[in-house]
Amino acid sequence: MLLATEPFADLARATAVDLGLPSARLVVVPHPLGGTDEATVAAWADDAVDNLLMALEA
Amino acid sequence: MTDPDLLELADESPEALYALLEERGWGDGLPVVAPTPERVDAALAGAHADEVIAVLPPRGGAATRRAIAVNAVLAGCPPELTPVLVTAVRALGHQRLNLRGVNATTHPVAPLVIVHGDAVDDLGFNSGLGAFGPGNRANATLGRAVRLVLLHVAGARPGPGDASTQGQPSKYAYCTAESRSEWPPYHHSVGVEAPSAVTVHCGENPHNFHDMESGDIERILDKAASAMATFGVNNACISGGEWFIGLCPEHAATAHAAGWERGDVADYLFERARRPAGEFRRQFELLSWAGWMRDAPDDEMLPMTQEAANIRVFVTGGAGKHSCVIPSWGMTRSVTLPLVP
Amino acid sequence: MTIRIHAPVGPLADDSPQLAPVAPALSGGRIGVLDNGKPNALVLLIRAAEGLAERIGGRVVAVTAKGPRGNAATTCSPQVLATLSKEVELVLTGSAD
Repeated sequence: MLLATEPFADLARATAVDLGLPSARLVVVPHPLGGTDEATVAAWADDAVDNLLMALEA
Repeated sequence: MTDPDLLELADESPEALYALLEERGWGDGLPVVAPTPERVDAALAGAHADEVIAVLPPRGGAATRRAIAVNAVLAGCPPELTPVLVTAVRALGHQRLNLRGVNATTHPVAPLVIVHGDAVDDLGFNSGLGAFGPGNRANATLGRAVRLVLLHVAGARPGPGDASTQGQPSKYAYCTAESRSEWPPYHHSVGVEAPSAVTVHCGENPHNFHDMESGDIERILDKAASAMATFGVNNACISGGEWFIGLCPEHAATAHAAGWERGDVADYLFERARRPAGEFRRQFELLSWAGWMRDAPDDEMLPMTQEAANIRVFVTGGAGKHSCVIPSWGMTRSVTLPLVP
Repeated sequence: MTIRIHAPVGPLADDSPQLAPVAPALSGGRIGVLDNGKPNALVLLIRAAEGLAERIGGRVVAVTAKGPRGNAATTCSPQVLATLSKEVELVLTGSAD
């Protein structure tokens, strides 16, 4: 399961397709991680859990 | 038309070709030469067109001799440069070069191609005044062809295939040639005993330094060391990265006259290009350092790479006293391969 | 006049990796985190893994780097992958920044 920040989601998807894995499981989170305080990043992680579950059950 | 590799263009004008490339998301944004079967056959010069020279990420494209030849034609390469381009592509596919990382990073890294030996004069590369460009067909089109191979075969388009935050001008074309000097050619210094060779180093644009007054090689190299000892390069936080030092012939002659070999230049820069360990630690939370550097106390002066052998010295340019340092992206190693005609 | 030109992209290499199947029963599953070394990646990945574990009644049992001096620019070492494949049913990892 891959987590990618929003501006790099297309790169992650394209790479997955190029590698022959078009249905690779990808969850997009906000950007940027670098320079953002840990509390905010933790909140983004909490928000991603529903999408992680959905991607796993898809 | 049955060959799926061939496209039909209703109008042979440059504008029509330009429009086709734009529509397909191909090209580097500049006009190109139409890769007609006749021109591609000339670039192939009878070689086995389907031979795969390298597989290039992220697209996983097979760089066949035909695909390389098509991009050579697009870039305006004369046919005699095809072996140089094939060698450069072979180097791009080398595992130690880490092309997947080169294309995926947000750093502006571009592969620099350096041509060494007899091929420089035989094929018309410019190793003299303005060697990095512009104005010479071989340097310009070979460098451009490498980028077109990356864009098309490797799929390194900005966005889905190249994540560089800002890009850099050398992503259009980045090729130079080694000047003759008193030293044996660069490729011999890395164990490639061929008449001609090609080096690919993935790095930044060149950073100039000059010393017009001095016959003192240490004073000249202190300026290179000063340009190297900066936190604004990946070499500052990745100690395994290389540096390429492009000495102009006059600076190289000064070094040689003082009895210095390439390795002496590298050793000197290794000792002189340093910053205190504590300053590195204040600047970077993540330091990909050799173990001995991690253990250094804050007041110890640390080098800008973990060993002197990572400082690679070559000679390029014409008259005058301007030289350059070329930092690395970091997680890549240069590759030097013999040129096979 | 009509002309013919070659496409410049070349064929795709003959390589067909397979996506790992979804673990049949996520409930109680063991979750791993593979750090890519980017700033805050570990904060995000561990927190997300813990949140996921809580929802499925699982556990975060492994947090690892890609290998010695591994980072976002390097591939994961085969040894780390082999170990993870034995220890966990699901790995969270990160791409880019």
